[in-house]
Amino acid sequence: MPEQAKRLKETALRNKKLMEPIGLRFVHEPLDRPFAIIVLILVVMGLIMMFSASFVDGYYYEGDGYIYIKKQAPLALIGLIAMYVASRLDYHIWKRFAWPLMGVTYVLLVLVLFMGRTKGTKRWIYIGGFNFQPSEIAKFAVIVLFAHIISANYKKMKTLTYGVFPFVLILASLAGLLLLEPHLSGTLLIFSIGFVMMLVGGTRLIWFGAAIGLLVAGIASAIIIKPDLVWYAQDRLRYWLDPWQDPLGLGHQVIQSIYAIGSGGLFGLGIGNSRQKHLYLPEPQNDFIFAIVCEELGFIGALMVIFLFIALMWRGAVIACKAKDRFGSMLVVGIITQVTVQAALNIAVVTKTIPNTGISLPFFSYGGTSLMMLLGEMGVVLSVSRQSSINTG
Amino acid sequence: MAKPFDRETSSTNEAQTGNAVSRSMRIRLWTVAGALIAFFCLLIFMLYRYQIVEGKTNRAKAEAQQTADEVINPSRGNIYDKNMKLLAQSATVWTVVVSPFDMNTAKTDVNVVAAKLAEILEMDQQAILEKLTAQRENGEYSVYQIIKRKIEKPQADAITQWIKEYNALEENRSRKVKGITLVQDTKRYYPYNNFASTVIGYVNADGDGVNGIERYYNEVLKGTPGRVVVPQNAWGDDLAQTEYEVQYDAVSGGSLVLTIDQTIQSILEKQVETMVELNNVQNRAVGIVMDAKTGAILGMTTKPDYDLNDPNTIVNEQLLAQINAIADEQERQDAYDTALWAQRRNKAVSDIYYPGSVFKTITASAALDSGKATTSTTFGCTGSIVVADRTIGCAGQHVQKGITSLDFYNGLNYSCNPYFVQLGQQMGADVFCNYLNAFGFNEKTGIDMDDEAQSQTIPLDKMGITELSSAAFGQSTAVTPIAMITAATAAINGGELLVPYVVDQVLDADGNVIQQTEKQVKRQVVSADVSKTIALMLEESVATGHGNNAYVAGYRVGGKSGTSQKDQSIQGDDANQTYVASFFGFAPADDPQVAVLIVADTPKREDGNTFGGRICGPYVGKVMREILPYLGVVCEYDEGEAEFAEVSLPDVTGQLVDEAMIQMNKAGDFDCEVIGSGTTVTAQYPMAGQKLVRGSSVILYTDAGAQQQVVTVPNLLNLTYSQVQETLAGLQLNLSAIGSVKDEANVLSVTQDIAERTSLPIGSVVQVEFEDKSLRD
Repeated sequence: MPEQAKRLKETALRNKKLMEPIGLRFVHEPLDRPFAIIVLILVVMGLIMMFSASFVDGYYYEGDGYIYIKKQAPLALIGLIAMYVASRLDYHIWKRFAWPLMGVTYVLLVLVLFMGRTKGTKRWIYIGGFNFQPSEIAKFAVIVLFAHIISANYKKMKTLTYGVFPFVLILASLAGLLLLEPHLSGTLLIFSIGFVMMLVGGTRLIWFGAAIGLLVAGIASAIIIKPDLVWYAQDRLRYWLDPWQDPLGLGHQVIQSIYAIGSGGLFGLGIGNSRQKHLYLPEPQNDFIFAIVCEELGFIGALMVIFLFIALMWRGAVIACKAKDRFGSMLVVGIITQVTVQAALNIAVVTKTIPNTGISLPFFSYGGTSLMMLLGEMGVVLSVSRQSSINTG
Repeated sequence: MAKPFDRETSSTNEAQTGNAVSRSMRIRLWTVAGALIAFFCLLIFMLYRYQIVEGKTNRAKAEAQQTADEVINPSRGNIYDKNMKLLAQSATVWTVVVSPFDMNTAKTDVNVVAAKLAEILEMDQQAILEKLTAQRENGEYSVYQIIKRKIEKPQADAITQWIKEYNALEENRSRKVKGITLVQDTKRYYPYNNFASTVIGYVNADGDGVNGIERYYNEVLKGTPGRVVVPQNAWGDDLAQTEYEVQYDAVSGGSLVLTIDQTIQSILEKQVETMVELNNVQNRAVGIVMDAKTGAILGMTTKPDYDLNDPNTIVNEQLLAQINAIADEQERQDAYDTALWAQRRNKAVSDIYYPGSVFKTITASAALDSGKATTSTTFGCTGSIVVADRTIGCAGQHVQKGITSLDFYNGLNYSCNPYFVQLGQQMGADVFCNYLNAFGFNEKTGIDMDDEAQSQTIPLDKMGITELSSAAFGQSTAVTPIAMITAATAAINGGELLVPYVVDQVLDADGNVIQQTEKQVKRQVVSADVSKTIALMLEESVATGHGNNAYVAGYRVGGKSGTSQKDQSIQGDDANQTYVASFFGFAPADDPQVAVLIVADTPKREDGNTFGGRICGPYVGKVMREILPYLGVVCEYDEGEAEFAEVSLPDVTGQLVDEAMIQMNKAGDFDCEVIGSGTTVTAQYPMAGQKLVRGSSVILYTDAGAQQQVVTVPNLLNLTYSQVQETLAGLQLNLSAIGSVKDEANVLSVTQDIAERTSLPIGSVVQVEFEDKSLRD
């Protein structure tokens, strides 16, 4: 063995001894190429569409059409690096961070309630030039912690004490905090992630029946604690049912969204040619970016985007099935659920299938911090894929 | 590839200790995935619905908001008189409209805008600011506020220029001026203000004619609006996507050439206005001049009228004061609106009245044409006639002259009601009603004017003996002035019932004639012979009989006066009764070219006289006197008129006195007085070209620098013709007589054109108007 290789191995061994106590370990098996490619397509397409959708808004309101892409692109690049690093890290390290991460989440969720309001809600924390939503971190914290608990207690998942209580406790407390912001869509998403993970993790189906009852009770109690919610929800609901009753008010965004979608037709107006983005559809780079996708790329383009998300889910499910252990599998299930459900809910809002809840479209909507986190999570999935049996068949 | 850490994964191999992915996990996972795919399918269905099924409608709605569909208003056509004198014209103006909503969205500094607009438009800054921040009821900013209407080009340009410059500045980048729109519009100008106002009508703020020709010909004048469809963003900036731009050009409105002749119209308006003033006409008066051969309206007026450039001001100051005195605001507003409505009304076509004796021209020609009477048909009248339970009096003066048996001419000339009652009865209701129909009283005349009323006749089944009797002398058929002149003209023009019209030609924007109105004969109502007979009888009546106040020397004027009681429930003479006086005239009687009708609704003279022959007759004469020469009707004096014939003076200056006198004698028996000792004429008075009655005095001056001799004009009123003539001759002044020129005791002078105590050079002409004070209808 050449001297150099020997020295390298020695260094590696020394590093390993140094890192092992905290679980930091790198993996070198090949990652799942299809999943990585789908993610890369989504990132590139998302950036292009975000640029197209944001140009006019940026030009008119910020004085620079490139302002949004200038902010988003570097963070996307950092996110891709983070994705690569995360994919190289042995995902088991997250077990150690499961509880601390949840602790940080609670602190941030309380902290955010003391921040200023943005559009009537307190969802954002500002640190320096940075801003992020604690609910984004909450999602990842829930995924890691639930995966950890499920893998640790996999034999007792059928019991009420281990299979239900810890999860419900965490979900309920998080929901309480999120609804104070208020952040309905965030709550909904975290619930979806939690329930899917419980379901796949082995919680007995009977408890889900009970959960529905609990949910009803929860909503009822939330209304009693915070009667404002009723008004808030009613308002949203009313304009969902009939946005045309106040076309210049709350129903405005939805109407403009439908106009944009409809204008696209089968093949779309062509990339960059949206007319609804010319100040008709408010903030087209945010929650309603999918409407611009529909307008510019048409029904065909919209189908393509939906199929990309379905493909991502499918490949993620395959990775989850072939994961080396339950922790890895559940991590993937949680992350994939988060992305897919969020995409589905966003498209549902944009197409007026459900009320306007304020939910962004993964990979597409403007928001660098959230894109960075999302890509990091994609890295975790790839990390799981590296140690799975997917490559060996 | 080497995998150095392959077998060194954490403490235990979980895959082998049962912590691996179980089968039930996989099943549950794929079930969730399936559910999500199902949800995605629902979303795809929604997209399919919006994009494919409802794609077109959604796109159309989107385009409706994305494109500014600007209407290009066509320019409204002009209105000209017969000789292409401009009567109405449009100019482009702009209306300043703002959208506070857009200003708020664009963060426009409203204070700056308010200050600038106030400066340019000369308005109150605070008032503008209020509009710039106006909110709707729901608290949203308003999207439409009108700052000022109808501003002219310099102001509009100033606003556009300022916005452009302001928005170009880098410092204003984040607070650009948005939401100000200049909406192109037109403003109508009427160069002659009141001139023919009730005929022309005016245009409202939307550019549509409200009444008159402006309304009747609105579609023609207005043209076809064009459109430009430009893609815009939500702030109204044009997008550079020209493939969506569509333009449809506007087609300018057509121009109208009226049959109204400015000269004739002016003459008519002047005379009717004077009549209204001097006779204290309470309920407006109407004058119509019609081409008797074609039905073309040469002049039409209702006095008092209003200023077309200011249609919303009440002209009658007395009425305005009355209205302003009303305490209740609503009542006052209503009264104001009613007064405005009445003031703009074209009484000549929109209102009906009882024509009275003017209608006898119709009855007379019907009687002759039907063969139920001849010119020798004779009826008796001793001052009244009893029909059923009603006594009908006779206004004619034949009884005083001892005539109790009247032939056809006398019946018409004395305007004897009992004669016509009997004539009507002899015709019978059947025949009479047929002629009412034939003369067009059961239809509209079809004149191309807004708001024409239809005359009201008594139908055959209700035409009893009483109705027939009063209808025969014009007291039961309510007619519009236009219907009356049209029917009466048919009685004298050879029997043709014409369709009256005011628009002669329609021109396109380039001045090409695109429509030419042709003479239209509705029907032959009476035979040409009957018409000729009636015309000559009416001429005789004006020349020597009861129409004499409308007499114009040298012209063969025919005519018939009329006076009707407005309230038929009041019988006989009553202080509460009100009257409509009117006079229908035409000339020349042997070949009528022009017909004139003047109607005075409710005259209230101090002397209480209400007769059409006294009130309207002289003015028909004065109108004729001025328009007949203008229309080129040749002035011919017959033997009886020789003494009134006027001759132009020749120029004799520079000639020897003897020669000058011979020439003057030859020209018109002029009586020359020579002042001075020279042998040649240095000056003459009156000047050459002045028209004088034959035998008038002419002064010839023979010394260079000789002073003109001056006399003082005396009072010439209330004298007979010969008294006036003698007075003037004594002062070496000449008389020009108009009006009734019979030298009889009851024909007295009523006006003199040069006031008493004015100094005049000898030889000057004084025009004196005579009126037959004895005339009744």
